[in-house]
Amino acid sequence: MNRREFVFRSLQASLLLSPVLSIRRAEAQQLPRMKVLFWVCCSGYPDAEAFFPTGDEFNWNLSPILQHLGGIKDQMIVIDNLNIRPTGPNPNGAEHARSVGKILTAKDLLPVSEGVDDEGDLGGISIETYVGRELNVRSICMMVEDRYRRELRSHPFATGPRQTIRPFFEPDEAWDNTFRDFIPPDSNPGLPEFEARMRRLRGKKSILDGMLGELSRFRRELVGIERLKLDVHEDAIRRTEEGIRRDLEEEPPRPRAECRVPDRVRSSSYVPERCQLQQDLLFASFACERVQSAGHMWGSSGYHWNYGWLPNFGVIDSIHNIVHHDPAERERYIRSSAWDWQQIGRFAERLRNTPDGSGNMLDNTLIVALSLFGRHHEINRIPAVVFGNAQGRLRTNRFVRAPFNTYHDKLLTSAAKMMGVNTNGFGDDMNCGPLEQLP
Amino acid sequence: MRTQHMKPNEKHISRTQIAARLALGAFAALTVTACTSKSVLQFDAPSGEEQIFAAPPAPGAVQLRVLSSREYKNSVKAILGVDVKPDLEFGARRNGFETSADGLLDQNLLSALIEEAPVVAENYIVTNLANEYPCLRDVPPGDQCVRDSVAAVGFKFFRRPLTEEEINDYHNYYNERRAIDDQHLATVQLFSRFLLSANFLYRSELGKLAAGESTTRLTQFEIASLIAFTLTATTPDTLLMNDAKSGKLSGDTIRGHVRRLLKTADGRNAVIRFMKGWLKLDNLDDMHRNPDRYAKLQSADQAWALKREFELFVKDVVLEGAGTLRAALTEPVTYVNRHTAQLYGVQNDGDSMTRVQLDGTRRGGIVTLASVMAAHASSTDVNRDRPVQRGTMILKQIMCGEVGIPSGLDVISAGNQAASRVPNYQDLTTREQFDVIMQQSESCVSCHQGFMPFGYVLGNFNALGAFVTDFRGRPINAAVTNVPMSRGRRNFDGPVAFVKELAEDERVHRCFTKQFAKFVTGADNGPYVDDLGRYFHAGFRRKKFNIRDLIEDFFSEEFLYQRKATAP
Repeated sequence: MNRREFVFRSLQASLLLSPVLSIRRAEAQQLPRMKVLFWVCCSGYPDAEAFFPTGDEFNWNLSPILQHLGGIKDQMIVIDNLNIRPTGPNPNGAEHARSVGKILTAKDLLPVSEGVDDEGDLGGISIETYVGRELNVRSICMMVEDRYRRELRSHPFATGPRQTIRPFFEPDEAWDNTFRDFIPPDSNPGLPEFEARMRRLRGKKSILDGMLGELSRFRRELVGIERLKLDVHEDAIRRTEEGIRRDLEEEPPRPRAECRVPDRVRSSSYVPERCQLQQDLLFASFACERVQSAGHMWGSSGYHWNYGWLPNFGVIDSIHNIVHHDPAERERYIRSSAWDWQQIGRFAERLRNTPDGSGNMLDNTLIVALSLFGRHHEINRIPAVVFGNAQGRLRTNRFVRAPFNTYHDKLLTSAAKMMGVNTNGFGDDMNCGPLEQLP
Repeated sequence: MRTQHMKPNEKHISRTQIAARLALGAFAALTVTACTSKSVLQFDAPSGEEQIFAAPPAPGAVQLRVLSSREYKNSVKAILGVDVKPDLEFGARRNGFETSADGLLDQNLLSALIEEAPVVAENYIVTNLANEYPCLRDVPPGDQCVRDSVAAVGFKFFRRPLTEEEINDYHNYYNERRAIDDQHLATVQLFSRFLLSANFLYRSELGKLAAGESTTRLTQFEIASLIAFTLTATTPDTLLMNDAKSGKLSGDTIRGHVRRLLKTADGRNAVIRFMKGWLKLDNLDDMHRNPDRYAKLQSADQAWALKREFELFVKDVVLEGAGTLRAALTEPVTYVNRHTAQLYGVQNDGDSMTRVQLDGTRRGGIVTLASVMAAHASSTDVNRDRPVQRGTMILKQIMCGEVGIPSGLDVISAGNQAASRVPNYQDLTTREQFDVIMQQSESCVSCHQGFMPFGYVLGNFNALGAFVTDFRGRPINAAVTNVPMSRGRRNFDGPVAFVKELAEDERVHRCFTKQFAKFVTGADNGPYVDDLGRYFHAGFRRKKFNIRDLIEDFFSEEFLYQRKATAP
């Protein structure tokens, strides 16, 4: 091969094989850290039709209890046929203790220890604390109630067998734990680096523009084979310029959800206001990424509110009879449950309406909302709703029917796995696997 | 034209013929010389005619030569005083030397240089800018001082004065960047642009072709660059540039610079690099850089000592000693330390390299150095030399012969079949093994006979270059017979007799000048380097094959700096 052939073939090779140069980042844009909220309420439904939707998986209608969630329906997955495993002690019957003890641990209660409440002990770690421990992130347990109770039925949270966690009952306690000495971070930490990179790219482009001009001057002085060398050089410049031009089109990083530390306030004895204060704290904890895993107990099992804030509700003491004993009180039962689910729905909407990176906070937060009971004291077909798409892992706006007699530990396992925990089970069955119908 | 050395049957060439050939170009030169001598590139031995006088070759072609990575790094160091990252390696070696003119600045190389340029610029600005060009740090951009600094910086990078257009271009560029960025960043950009300029990255050998002319002379600054990059692998120094500015670079002035540069460390290293390329010693450097890949080595220190041995031999014999090709091929001297002494059967307990005078009975000269033999041998098995590799090295690199590649032959299977046919195949000496392999086909014999004798005669040197006389009890036979050399067919009983004959071989002399022509011009095999080799062989012979004289004569010849435009 003579010299001319060599240079010409090299030019051909470089034109064919030169990779399109791009200095665009190889890695995907970094997502905010995912958060998870396990929300547990203490009332179920008078009958299945009151809670579970009608229709099929993709064409479904909100039930009476879920009627207020129309604004967030597209971000929900309602799940039917989930049961709390009916095993282990059921102290005092009526499932009050057993459901609280198992709803977030999926473990049988332990027999009562001496000197402890006669409803038994929690059998293992609760899911929000488990996620926090496995991922080495902060977790928090809160409870909204009209007054603090020490019985088991008010404490679904634990770090291990017989190691109950006292949840934050007062908002100021939770604030101290989460925000004392906290300095909010820059809501757009990636922006300075992005701007510096764009500046470097523009600088490189300016250099390349000059290089082409110089090559033109060289080219005028050359003929024949040496021009082929400059062809290769010019091609290299143009391809590099093309890559830089594409990189300059990259969108700047979107800011994260703004972190605004709420004021430290004393609590309120008014339940709705107490609920709002605790949800405000949870929202700020997530927005500031102070907490990645949370548990929120909504009321205490068996100790129901009177829901006096609902217009013309007419209950003086508590709705206990309505929830557990009186079938004739169907409409009031639905109203009180609807109010509970409306609050978690509003929280989900608030997350959905808050920009966070390239999406919103609900994109980056998984809410697993459960009730201790199904119909009255039954622990099968418990209300279960998932809010959020878990950063694209879930297809929402569905009504999913799990196979008959599916245990809810599969849902807890799914939530843990979506958070990034490497596990195939949770609770008494560490091999229960995730809920296949969920994604 | 006549010389005192003219022989009776020698044809002389008139001035008219010389002028005509210059006008006609390379093909005319071939026509003239073909009439007066036999080709020395043929395999059979030449008739013995001696070509003492040859007409100057036709001009070479204009060309742009991309800096090699060594030249790039050295230039940056010389201009800015900062280092480029060590693993930035590039450069064509098509002609066997890293000075090949066929390098291309493709996208991969460009992207690497684009990444490195601002890093280098940043380092320079932080360390040296304030002392050298304070205007670029502290003065407003439109100031005349800034413009003068741009011109001064450009002069160093471009290796010539910038034109007004170029000064304006770079000055305006700096002003524009200052309007957008802070001064520091604008200065980084300015120096990055210089580092990426085609005027820096290419060595130009273009001259100034006037309209209607087909040949030209290189500019003074291009001559300075050609000398500097060849002999020091870096940008021309102040003395060269001063003479270039004064238009003094020709004839004896150039000779003075060459003589001066050959006394510098960079100049010595350039000669060492040439000799390494001449003998194709890529593996020698690779052994030093990557000793883990060579299981035969006893240690990484041994690889270093082998590399150092070669460098010190060249310095001793070529640069400071007799300096002749004959001495380089036969001088029985070497340098050892405790890692290589046992390869020569001598004692040495130190880490410093020590000169050793050999008795000359088993080896002598550059080819039989342990380093050269180790570079052309098995990388893993210390007992296995490589007669094909050594033989082709002698034929191609030292004699400028041609070797074809086996076509239609499955050489791997041939080796496997031979191994399976002979029960004690692994116990045979390397020569015996190759004899078994080649006996399988007449095609093998007919091609291999051209170079195998050169490999067999060096068979006493194992893969580390130690002299051994047997392999597993079987005597190593290094005797070869009926080997065609310039002075006729010869028999050699071992390497010493062979290298002495090499030293007298006219093919070797001519090939050496041709190889040097390739080293300087960056050209590959072809009419141009053939002509250069033939021309300088005459003077080389006249001066008793003195290599230093060859180098000086080469650069002092005016026609080296003539260029013609090539056809599309």
